Amino acid sequence: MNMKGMATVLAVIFCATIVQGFPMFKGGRCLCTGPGVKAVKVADIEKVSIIYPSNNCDKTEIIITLKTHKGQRCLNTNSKQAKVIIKKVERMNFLKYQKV
Amino acid sequence: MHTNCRGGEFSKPGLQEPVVGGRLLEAPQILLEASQKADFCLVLQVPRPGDSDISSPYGGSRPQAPKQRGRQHTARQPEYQPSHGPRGSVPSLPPQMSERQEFQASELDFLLENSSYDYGENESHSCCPSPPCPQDFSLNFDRAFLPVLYSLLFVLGLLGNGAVAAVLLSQRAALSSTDTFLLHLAVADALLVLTLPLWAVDAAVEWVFGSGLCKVAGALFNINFYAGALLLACISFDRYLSIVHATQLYRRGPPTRVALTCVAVWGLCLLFALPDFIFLSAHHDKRLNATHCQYSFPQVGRTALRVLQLVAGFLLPLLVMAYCYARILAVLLVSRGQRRLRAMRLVVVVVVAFALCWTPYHLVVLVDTLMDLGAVARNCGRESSVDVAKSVTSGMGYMHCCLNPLLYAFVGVKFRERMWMLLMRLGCPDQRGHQRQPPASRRDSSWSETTEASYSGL
Repeated sequence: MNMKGMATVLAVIFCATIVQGFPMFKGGRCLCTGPGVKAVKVADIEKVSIIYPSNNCDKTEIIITLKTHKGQRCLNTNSKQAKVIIKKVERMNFLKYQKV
Repeated sequence: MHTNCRGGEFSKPGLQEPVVGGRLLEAPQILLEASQKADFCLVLQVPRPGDSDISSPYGGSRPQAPKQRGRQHTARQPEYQPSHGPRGSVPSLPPQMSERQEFQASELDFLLENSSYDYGENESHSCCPSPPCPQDFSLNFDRAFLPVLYSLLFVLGLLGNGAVAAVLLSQRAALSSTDTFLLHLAVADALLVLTLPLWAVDAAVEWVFGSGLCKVAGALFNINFYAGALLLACISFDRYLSIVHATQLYRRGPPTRVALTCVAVWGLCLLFALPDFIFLSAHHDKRLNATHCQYSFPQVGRTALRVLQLVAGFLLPLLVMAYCYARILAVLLVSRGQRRLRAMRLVVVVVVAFALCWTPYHLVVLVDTLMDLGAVARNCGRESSVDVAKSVTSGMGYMHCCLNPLLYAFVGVKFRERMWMLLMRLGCPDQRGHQRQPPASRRDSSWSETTEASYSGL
């Protein structure tokens, strides 16, 4: 009877084995921690990066590099500007896909 | 290191920007350019995103991140990145599946068409500019700290557990039940620390060993981690039975019962390592810009599973151990015997060591989980601290592997005697005949003091 109880306890313990929090298996995190800015002045934009969801981050992130060392900004993906960018990118991707 | 709110950023350009810009955007890129001015400049970093293998164009042999860091402070230029690469070539899969796309300013004319954006009271130029959080601090910490820690644990763990295994294997007589568990525990711990050099390289540079070794090393690590925990539970249960119930479950039964238990332990561990074989792979992470050995299931299920790990993977075994040893303590308290105090002290040390080694780690994981759930506010500095804390506390957890030989084997007087005998035998092979055999009456008593106390003291 003790063996049975022991087996049950151990079985429960081992149900947890598929979980891994160890640092060696950790990936990155999302790059944008806050909601992000709503918009960036277009004249300041040097580059726009769109990063799609991956293993370690479920969100689509838009990171804007500003000109002349002014840093980078996370763009709020729900903002108007972000939507314009995403829409444009999707349209462009669609066109490129059609060309192939 | 990273603050969310950087006022006056424009007065001191370059204070934080090069780090962020360098890691994020100065990575080697393949520019698939259609036209210089009018059209988009599409930067695709990973042509085959769904691929679980090392799918980046610069794969495993890419110059590593530390090297990149060297140049990002000097070579950071404000001008547009020159476009290079195959002109006019277009990705041959639906491009919306690519993981990262970048556009130069000259391609952003469309943004001007719609210029009525809500800038939120000049939000982007004043306080709280929402910079990305590339976790440079924790990554650099890991890069320096983890290799050192893992090397240390590798040496210590291999020495200690190797000694335990050698002494137990050199014994002529049949192993007692606890000794068998101790032998398996030593093997599990030794195998676990054997994988640490790989993880040291992974932390220092990136995963350069490919997906196959990622699966094997990850599975080996987890098999032995859980085998270790299970064997500790077995040992505590064995002691509990022999002292509190005095049933000697394993000694009276057929000798195969211990072996069967061990086979069951390893079988279970193998079974639960199956997800490692399935889901682990060397994956190029867009955000870290490096290849790491990662699980390829998304973040969604991870939080729930992590909670399960906290409850079932730590609290339950701790409770089992605490219960078994508490009952043992209760018996020892009312007993008389020379070794009573020593055995009691050892019981406390064993439980406290397990709790001390693993509690901090699980607390940090709890905070991390709460952050994932949104119960604790995320900010860049906090994420960095959690990552650093996780590295340190997991190191404490792995240290338990190196403590096991001390806690379970070397505390025993007889074990130490046997080890010296083995060393002497190794040192002077001539004296083989002079060694005394352990008395047969003590054959079944384990070298751990708690079990010993059950015979000598009770």
